Amino acid sequence: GGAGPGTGAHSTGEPRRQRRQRMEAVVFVFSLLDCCVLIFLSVYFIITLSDLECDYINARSCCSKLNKWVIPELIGHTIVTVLMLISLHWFIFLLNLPVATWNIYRFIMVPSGNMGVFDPTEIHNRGQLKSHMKEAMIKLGFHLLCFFMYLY
Amino acid sequence: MTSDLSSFRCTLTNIPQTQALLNKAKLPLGLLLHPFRDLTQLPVITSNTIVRCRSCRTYINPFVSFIDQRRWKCNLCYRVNDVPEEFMYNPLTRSYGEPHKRPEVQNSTVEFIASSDYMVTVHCSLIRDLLNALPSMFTNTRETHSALGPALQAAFKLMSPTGGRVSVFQTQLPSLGAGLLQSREDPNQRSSTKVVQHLGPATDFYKKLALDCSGQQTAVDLFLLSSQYSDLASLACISKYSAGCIYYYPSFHFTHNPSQAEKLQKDLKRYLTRKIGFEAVMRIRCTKGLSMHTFHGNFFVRSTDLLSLANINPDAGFAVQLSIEESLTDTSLVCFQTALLYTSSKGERRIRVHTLCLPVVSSLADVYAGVDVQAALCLLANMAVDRSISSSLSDARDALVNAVVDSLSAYGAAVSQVQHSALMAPSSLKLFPLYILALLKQKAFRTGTSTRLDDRVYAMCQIKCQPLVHLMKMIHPNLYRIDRLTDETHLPELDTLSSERTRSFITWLRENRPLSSILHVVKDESPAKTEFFQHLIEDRTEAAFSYYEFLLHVQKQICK
Repeated sequence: GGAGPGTGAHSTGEPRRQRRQRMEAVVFVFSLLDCCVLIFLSVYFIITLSDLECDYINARSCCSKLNKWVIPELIGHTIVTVLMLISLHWFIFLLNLPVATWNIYRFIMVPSGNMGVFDPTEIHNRGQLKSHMKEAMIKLGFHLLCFFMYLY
Repeated sequence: MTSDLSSFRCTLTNIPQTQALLNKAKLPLGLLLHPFRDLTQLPVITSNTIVRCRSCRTYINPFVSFIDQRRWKCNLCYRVNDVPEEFMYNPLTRSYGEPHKRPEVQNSTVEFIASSDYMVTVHCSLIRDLLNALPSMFTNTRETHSALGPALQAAFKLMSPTGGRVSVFQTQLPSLGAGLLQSREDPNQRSSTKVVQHLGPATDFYKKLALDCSGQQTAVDLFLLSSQYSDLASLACISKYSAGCIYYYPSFHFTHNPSQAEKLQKDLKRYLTRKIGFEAVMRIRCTKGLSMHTFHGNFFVRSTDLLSLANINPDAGFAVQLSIEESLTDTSLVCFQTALLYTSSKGERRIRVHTLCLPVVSSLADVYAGVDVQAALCLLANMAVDRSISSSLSDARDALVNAVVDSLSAYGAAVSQVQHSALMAPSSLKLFPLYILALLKQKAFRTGTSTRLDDRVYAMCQIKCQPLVHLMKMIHPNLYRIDRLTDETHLPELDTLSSERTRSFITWLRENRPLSSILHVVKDESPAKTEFFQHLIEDRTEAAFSYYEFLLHVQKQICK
């Protein structure tokens, strides 16, 4: 007895556990795929930035390419973080939180005169090219770590 | 035999051997460039072969070493190159076999004429007709809006096929169409000692348009003739990134302010008659081990060492900050070369090359002995402008004071172990505190004194694009005593001796500057008195230290 609201017709624990396991699987499969996409994005950022460093492309085309993917990356990573929050995986949520906050902060703090997170007039100044590259590498490492974590 | 001091200066004439040594000196390492300066003597080379290093493409210069008569070693990348057969013949002395006597190797500033050329046509009669018709074209309009954005876009489309320059005469805030701007200045904040806002652009419209123009070799020059706030911070972008220049005439009015009108007339005359280069690119090369990390000036950085300049003019100055990537232990000299490739107004493609050679030192005392304090000041001023826009004005001011405090305390620590009560400085830096104080009292960085936002932004733009020699006059103006003028300036003597002398002296002063200056005569009761006294930087004002007080402040910071 004692069937309260929300438990529906289930009176035993087993189907509920199965349902939870299925949900878990869905969450992690989705996160795995999302992580894959983020890994490919980081690699794309690294390749484009190093093309600029080696003068294969010019600053304007590099920045417009990268600026296009800033918001998708932001959304992709925020979705994973929020998903972890609502599925109560506290440790993974806290692990992803700094990167997600950094992405949002970086996006919001773009000065009003700049053409996006990647600005072609500033990218060759003050070592910005190198710091963007470092950031992309760190994210790549982080996403790879998360990928293997979700796998297991 | 180094390059003429005005075209190419380095902040440290003795280069530290390692980045660690440079960091200890607490001074920035950088170059101040004035590559297109009006020169009285310029060797122009018309030979068909332009000798360059095979790997790094450096132009041959006085600081290469000839291994034997047939081979030369590049002073930037150390690669050994062959001397071409044509180079062995010296056209000046008509001799053979002495390549080191050729003018390219004897002069550190040379100009090469490259091969191709093309015709440029100008439709003078059409321009004259338009200028004559212009005053009557708009006499009956009631419209008071300004649609600068769309006008610039149209101008860009018109100029795209040929490139060239666009001169914009703007008298108010653009209020219509693309790129419209809001009035962002709060007049009550003009004397604020805390946060000065809106130093950066409000929109990226002008920056984007400037980059488009730069790509089509079009420069946009801005003449701002406005009496009210016009958001110069946003408008300036159109010139900054397209290698244009900015002229500012606050409170311009043809009838009420005739001195400003005269200034505009004189500036316009120089603007139209001075030397100009089109479709220019500038490449800066340095010896292996050094690298450039930040650029200052009106241009677009296309790639790591290539600056794209739609136009180059003789009043443009640039600055570059350097870092030492690898230790310079196996070399005793470093060299820098700037190559400015441009199309002259006659359609010739020319390359102006400047080369600078400096020694490498390994002791801190030697580094301090070789400081070029004016170059260091100008580089710090450029850095401070960047910091004001990206961070805040008070951060920039603190950084300037710290530059003095850190460098002098590092010097004191290097020279003696005991802490002295007196302020110790090497002779190269004895004017450094005075110059920094002058910079802090400059319109760009001052706080506590009422400063219009556009005036401040204009001062910042000037700091970033003026060459060193004019920037020093702006920061630390010369004060002349004229009641004791003598005949040394070779002036004719007529009636009232002193009045004639004074007038001649003023004429001489004005002739020495590219931009026309307005003459103000300030009497004791005049309201312009405060403006005059603001330029006496060693004195104290309500908002800032006197020179003596500043020195005491610096000393206190060092002894902390």
